Amino acid sequence: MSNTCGNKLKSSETMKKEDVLQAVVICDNFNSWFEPVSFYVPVPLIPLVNSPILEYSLEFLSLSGVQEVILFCCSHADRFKKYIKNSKWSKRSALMSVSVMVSESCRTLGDAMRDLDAKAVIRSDFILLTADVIANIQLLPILERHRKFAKQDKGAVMTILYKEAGPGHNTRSPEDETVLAVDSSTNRILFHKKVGQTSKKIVFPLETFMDRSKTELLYNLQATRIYLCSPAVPPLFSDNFDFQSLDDFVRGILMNEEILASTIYWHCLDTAEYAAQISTWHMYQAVSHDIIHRWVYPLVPDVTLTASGERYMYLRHNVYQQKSAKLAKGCVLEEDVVLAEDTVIGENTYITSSVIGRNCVIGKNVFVSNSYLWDNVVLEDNSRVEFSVVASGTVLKNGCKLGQGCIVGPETVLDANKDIKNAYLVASTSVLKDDGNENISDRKIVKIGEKAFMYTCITEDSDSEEETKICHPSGLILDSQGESEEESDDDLTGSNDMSYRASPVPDDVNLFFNEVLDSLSRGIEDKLDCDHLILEINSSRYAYNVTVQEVNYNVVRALLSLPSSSTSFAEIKKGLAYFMPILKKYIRNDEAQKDCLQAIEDTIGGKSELWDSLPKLLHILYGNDILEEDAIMEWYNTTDETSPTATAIRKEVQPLIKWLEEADAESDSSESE
Amino acid sequence: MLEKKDCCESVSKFIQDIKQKKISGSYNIAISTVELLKKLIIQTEWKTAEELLKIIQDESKHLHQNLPLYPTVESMVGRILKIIREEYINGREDRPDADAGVIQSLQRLMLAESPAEDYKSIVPELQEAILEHITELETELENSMFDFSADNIVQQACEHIHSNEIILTIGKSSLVEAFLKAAAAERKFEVIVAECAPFCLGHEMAVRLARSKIETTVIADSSVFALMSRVNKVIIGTHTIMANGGLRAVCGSHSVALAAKHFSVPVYVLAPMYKLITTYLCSYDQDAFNCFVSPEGVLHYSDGAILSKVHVYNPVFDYVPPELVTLFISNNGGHAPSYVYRLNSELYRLDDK
Repeated sequence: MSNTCGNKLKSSETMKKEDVLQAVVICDNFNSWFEPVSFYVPVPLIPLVNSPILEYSLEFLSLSGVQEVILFCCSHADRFKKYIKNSKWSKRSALMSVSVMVSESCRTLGDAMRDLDAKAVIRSDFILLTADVIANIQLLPILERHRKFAKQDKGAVMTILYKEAGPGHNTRSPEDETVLAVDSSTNRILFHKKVGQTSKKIVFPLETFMDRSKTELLYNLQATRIYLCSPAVPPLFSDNFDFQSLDDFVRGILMNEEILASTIYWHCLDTAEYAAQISTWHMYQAVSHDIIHRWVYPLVPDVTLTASGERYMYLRHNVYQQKSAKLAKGCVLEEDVVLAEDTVIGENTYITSSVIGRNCVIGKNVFVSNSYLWDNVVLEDNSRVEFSVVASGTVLKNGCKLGQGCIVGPETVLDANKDIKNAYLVASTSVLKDDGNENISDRKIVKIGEKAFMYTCITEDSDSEEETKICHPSGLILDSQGESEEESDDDLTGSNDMSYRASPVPDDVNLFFNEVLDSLSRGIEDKLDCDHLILEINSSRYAYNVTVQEVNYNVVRALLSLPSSSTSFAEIKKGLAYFMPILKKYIRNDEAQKDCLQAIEDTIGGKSELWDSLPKLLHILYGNDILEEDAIMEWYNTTDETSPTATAIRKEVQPLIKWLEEADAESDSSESE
Repeated sequence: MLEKKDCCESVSKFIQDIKQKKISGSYNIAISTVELLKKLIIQTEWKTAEELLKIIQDESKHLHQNLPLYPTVESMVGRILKIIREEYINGREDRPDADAGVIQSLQRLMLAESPAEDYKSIVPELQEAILEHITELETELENSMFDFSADNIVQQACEHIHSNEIILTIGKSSLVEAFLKAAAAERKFEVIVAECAPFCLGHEMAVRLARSKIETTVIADSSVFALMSRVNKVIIGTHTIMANGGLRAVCGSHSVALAAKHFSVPVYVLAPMYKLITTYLCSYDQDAFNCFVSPEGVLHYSDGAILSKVHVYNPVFDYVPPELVTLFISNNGGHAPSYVYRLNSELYRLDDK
């Protein structure tokens, strides 16, 4: 059933076996996200920017210092063997040995791991990833870290790598949205949950927060699907037959931490490092974009992956072109275009944001945008392809249109003037039936040509798509048309102030304010003595090292922001009366009065319902000798013209000012008498 | 004797090591390139100089394809090819002209080349002669390293930096660092370091200089012009010297050089001879000259949705035209940019590409 074939280097044999860094690459994603193309080509051999995805993962492993790679294949094993045999990895000059391990009975990743355990090929800590991972990480330092975790904690079995990427990031797979709770002092994962787009509520178990000085909750992460595992991982899979996927594994370990005596750690990649898994067409599109925009440097077409053919030229506006591609007069390569060798493009053709494979023939007046054409594709004159993936050998006759997320299987021939949107196309129905996949045979298949059969995508989870992008069932993002564009723009401006990075460390003044607010609200509830509260405030002042000015300002602000006094003036009045000694203590000179007035303006200014009670408030403070007439007048006269609230507030207090002026005049006149 | 495949292996090991940054720094790369070529000369099978040249030229093509941005490798290969030719001519019994091969006078450069040599005759003890000559090259390399031998760059520091001067530099260069430190041992002066965003290696440089008690200020790249009027000298390192005396230097160098020109501040470029290459600038783009790396640093990857709407570029190098450079300080003294062509013809054979 299973066999291994491979080529060991002399050098790796002479090395101590334990020192060899191993990576296990699972060459199957155990799902049908990439149909119908996956019926013909195993997913890791799908071309991504004109090189097979597997080539990227192997190159990444080789660059990061891995010496031995085990490709674990469950289906299409002969294709992988052939691929490796013909690639540079089997040349003698390759410094990384790649061996293919076959086990056709595996149906899930769990099975694969159990098989791996049975074969006992893992000698020490290893790297586990699927073959569809694109990354440019240096693994050795992270492995060091993993070993350090393992030293401190005997149960540490795995370190999961995450990349920081804010919500709404294109390269976040909607299927992989995760919420993580980690202990920030040890980097241990305490809680891990995949949230679909539907669930809005997450329940954290209490233990996540108990007995810990610091727990971090993270939702700004993109799963990289790279796992550093200790040799204990495969046996854990063998012991627990219900572990089918790595997600099962993580959940199982976290739930039964005590029983399994294992813990999982996390590592956030350095900002300069990139990693993503191509799990769906959406990710295929997003990662292609990232490669063309060079985030994955050095894994870009013009640097690394040119061993087979000629070099790519990297031109302005992210256009990559091999020299033997021929462009006719008047054709435009707008931006983000990759053109591979021997491709011929006809007159007045317009191409933007697309990848064109080898030996393609593209006719005149063709329009291609946001599409991925693999090798040997023929687009005849006047055809139009948008937001589609066209597999190798496909022919589109004169005037065909493909749009809105078509996925076209290999060797399909589409007759002239067909207009197809939002569908899967295959060359023959035989693959669909052969595969015995039930939910496919249910689908309606329409014959639209000798070698073209169409079936529409099942719309399983198109219910609550975000407004920012129209996400197609096939997963491709279609985001350039009018209406949706406007919508997305609004959405963007709305969320502009949102930070996509980890929340900032709260600054001391804010902490001080919260502390004061706490003390005061406790004070009024428990009827504490004001002197004690002053003592408390003073000690927090020293703890957070804030200036006198900030103390005055924040005490008044806290007083007015007490939860009880947020709505009615009566409550504020009660609070003021109670805390009058505190105010007397702090607001003692002109400067302090200025701060106090500023605080009042800022706090009340935010609550328009309290504006009318502002004169009364000032009057109370005036009556209690907290504020002096001069200070109020000065504050009144220094308006900030630009801010509407400031002007409005000053308008509110006009009666009081008038009254003050009159009183002043009276006293003047009485003095003069 | 090794087979072709084995030498292939050591070449790809070398390429891999450089790519993984196991060998880094132009000096180390130069040394290990020479090591590699020596190994090729000793271990492969060849009879005549022609065969040997062919072997090395093939490998050189391979190296250049895989490491287009490591000029040191290229220049070392060029040096060794030249050595092989010279030794061949020296060792030949029927030498046409007693001193024609070795001593190249200025006049001779202007004259037509002597009839093409075919390098086919067998020269006794050619390998020994070549290896001996390579040892000389290695000594020269070691001298250009920053230790204490007589004719190296660092030794010249005190001739160029005077007391109480203000020196401006950009980014991080270990050679500039050693140069400044050597001068600081004898005089007191001040250094301004432009941070060189987005990589900001200038910060690291400043820390190192400050540790050795040099008065150091870090400034943003944008304030270079504002401060240039107070600067006495600009001293920078470079990645490569092009054949016309222009520089391929870290991004930001061009603006520094232009600002210096405006205020008539001299620009000194520290460059050991192995940074000199025989290619000219033909375009500013990636395939010929520049290197565009990941845009992280200009814009954060974590910034979310905005990334799909913008193009962000992060080039590594700047081209500084030769007229902005005052002086090259190399391991064999100072040279004006206009003299670079001569150095080129002294060190390499120009048709060895």
